[in-house]
Amino acid sequence: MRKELKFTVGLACIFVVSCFFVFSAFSPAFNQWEQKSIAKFFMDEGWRQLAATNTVTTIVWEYRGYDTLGEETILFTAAMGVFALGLGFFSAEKLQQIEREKAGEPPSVKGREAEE
Amino acid sequence: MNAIVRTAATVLLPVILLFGLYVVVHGHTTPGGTFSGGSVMAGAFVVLTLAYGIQKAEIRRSVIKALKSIAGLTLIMLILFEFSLRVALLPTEQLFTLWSGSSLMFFNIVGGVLVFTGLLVIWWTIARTEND
Repeated sequence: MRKELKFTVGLACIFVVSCFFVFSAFSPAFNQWEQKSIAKFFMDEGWRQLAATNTVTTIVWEYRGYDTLGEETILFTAAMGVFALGLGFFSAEKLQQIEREKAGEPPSVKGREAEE
Repeated sequence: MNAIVRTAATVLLPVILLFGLYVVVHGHTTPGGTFSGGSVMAGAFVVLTLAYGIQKAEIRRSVIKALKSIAGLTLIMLILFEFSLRVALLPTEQLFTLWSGSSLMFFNIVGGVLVFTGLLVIWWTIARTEND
């Protein structure tokens, strides 16, 4: 029963994804990009305005510049988060617990509660 | 690793770094840009780490962190003062040259340094954690 359910769900997923690809390939917006005003603007005026022949860079750093700033912020934050994880930033309490267990005391946080 | 991998990594390191720098600096004329070039430059150090081990291949962390912070501050400064920079650069514009694309080259360089240092910090942290 479970095997059949898995098979059906997988088949449905493949069907939906292939339907998406087929209909997006045959949709009028995919082929006739020249009728879209903003795409036509990027392709026609982008290199003329900035004298840059790579339109992708023009869009990424000029027309969508704040989006890219957020992207760089995400990368910065991810790197700092991984760095903090590697340093053991978030496991100080665990280290204290291990030391307490080695010293023979019960692993509790009652002392800190009393201080607060 | 064995001698073949080590020799290949030593020979290929400047070539990969130069290619990444080319992709970053010429991001406004040829395909590529910040993310692809920064990833290529970080990949050079990944190859070096795989060949020699994390203990020998690691540069001092504070250098990389300082570079990353300087690049982030420079990016914000570029965004704030972009219009004056563009006015200064606009008369020299010409297609298919390095100095075309008014301020895109500086954005590409700063973003490339950010991506390079970010991926390098992530990779070294993961490699050191695996080693311990």
